[in-house]
Amino acid sequence: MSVTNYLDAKKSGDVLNDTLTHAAFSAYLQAESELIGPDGLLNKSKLKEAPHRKTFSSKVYASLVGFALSYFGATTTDDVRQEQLAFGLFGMNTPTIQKFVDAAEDKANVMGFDRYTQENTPFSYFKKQNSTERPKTKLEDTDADEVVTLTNTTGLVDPKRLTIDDMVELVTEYQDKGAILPNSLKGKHYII
Amino acid sequence: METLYGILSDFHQCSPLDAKVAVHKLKDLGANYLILNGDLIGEQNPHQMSPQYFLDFLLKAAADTNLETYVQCGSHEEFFTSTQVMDHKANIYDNIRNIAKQQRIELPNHHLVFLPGSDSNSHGGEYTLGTNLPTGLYLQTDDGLLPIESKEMYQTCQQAIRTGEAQGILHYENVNDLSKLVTAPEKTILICHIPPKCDGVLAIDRAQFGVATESFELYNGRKKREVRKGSIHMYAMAQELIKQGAPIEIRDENVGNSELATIMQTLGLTKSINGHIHEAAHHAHTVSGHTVEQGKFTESLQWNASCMDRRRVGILRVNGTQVAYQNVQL
Repeated sequence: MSVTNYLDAKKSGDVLNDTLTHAAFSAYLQAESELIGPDGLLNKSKLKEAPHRKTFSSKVYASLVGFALSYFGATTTDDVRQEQLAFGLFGMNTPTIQKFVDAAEDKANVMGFDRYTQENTPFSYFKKQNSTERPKTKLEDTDADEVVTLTNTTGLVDPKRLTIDDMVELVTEYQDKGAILPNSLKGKHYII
Repeated sequence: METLYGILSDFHQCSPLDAKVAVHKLKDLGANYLILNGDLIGEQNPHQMSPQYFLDFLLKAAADTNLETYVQCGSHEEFFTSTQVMDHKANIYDNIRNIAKQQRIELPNHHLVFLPGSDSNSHGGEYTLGTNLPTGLYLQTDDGLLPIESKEMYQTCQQAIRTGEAQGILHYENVNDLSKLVTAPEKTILICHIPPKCDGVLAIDRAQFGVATESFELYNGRKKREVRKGSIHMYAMAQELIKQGAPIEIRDENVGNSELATIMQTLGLTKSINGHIHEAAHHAHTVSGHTVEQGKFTESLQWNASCMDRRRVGILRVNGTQVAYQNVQL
């Protein structure tokens, strides 16, 4: 194990999350683009009617399934297995999507869909697994010295007191801000 | 050896899905690199996708082409939100480059110099260029502009904007700094969202627009808002307002940036790629105003390469000090 392994896994997880988010947006936008009229404006009045909402939801779901099949290199035509694959990546299926569209009707939009999936489906849980929990398994207690060196905190942080979560926090802050600022170390149990 | 750049800009009313189609089309046409030349947030996109998400979507589409992509801001981007998205994408995709971090790209037989920003910011745009201030980041406060000079201050500023203690950020680019970036003018291609001031009806900066000759009130069916004397309106909107009796005068002028034209002339720059003026997208000429044919290599080219709202993008071919352009209608 090493910090490099962690960083590689973190980057892969971030790319996967970015790709899944993009795929979910694309699926929604694709379905919505069929509601754009010749004037170039979205006409969502159809979503006031239940049959149209069902069709709309099915189109979003079909795109997610298409992505999932391609991602896993799967060829199954079995509906249940397809749903398992799509759900495993996006935490959604047709009823989940339709629940959102049924509630929002013609007020449904892509930003609302994004919020809904974050708050009401396992999508954000899965994304956390991809970008945080899975990469974290690449770190061990013995990596603490490397973390201190990488984040330029030698003499400020005691590596012996760093937990895995502390290491992740330090590396994340260092990557996000380019430096560990003194303020962010205030009150931490591992400062020297 | 030829290098091909796919150029896109001015995403305002188009769908993010169009952006996806466009970047792949340019790749199919042989582009080796992509240049996203400002106004990248689709603030009026039909799907009501927020600007930050639109930019995110666009950059992901570009990342998926695997082409090295240079990204610069224009008239509409907010500093913190756009920087956050661009940096995030640049961190996870090796082919996405935020040119604010490196304005000069040196390739074996030519150089690209990027000049971000605009002289006419709108919708909260925070990237400005001109000659009034030194290049840098400034915090906009009630007491004026405050230079941001350290990482600590940068973080404090984000907080100040969030809490409403400051109005926003100004990312200012002094156009005279081009003299520090340009080392070989004959090999240099300037990439700037706004065009330099030019002459003629077919110039890259020729615009048709409306100007309010008096202040007036506009009622949109829900609320009234004051339209100030001197305010500028897109041509179609101006005509609509005139029909309703608004005091607006239609103008047809060259509206490029004079300071940019001056510095280009001083440095001997003869190649610039621009956008911004939608109605002039796909106009091209030499610095002296002579028409340049598509596909013909030249030492002198000013080209308004793209406007996604009009489904116009372009391919720039570079061979040493010579360039040729291809207008692409999607």
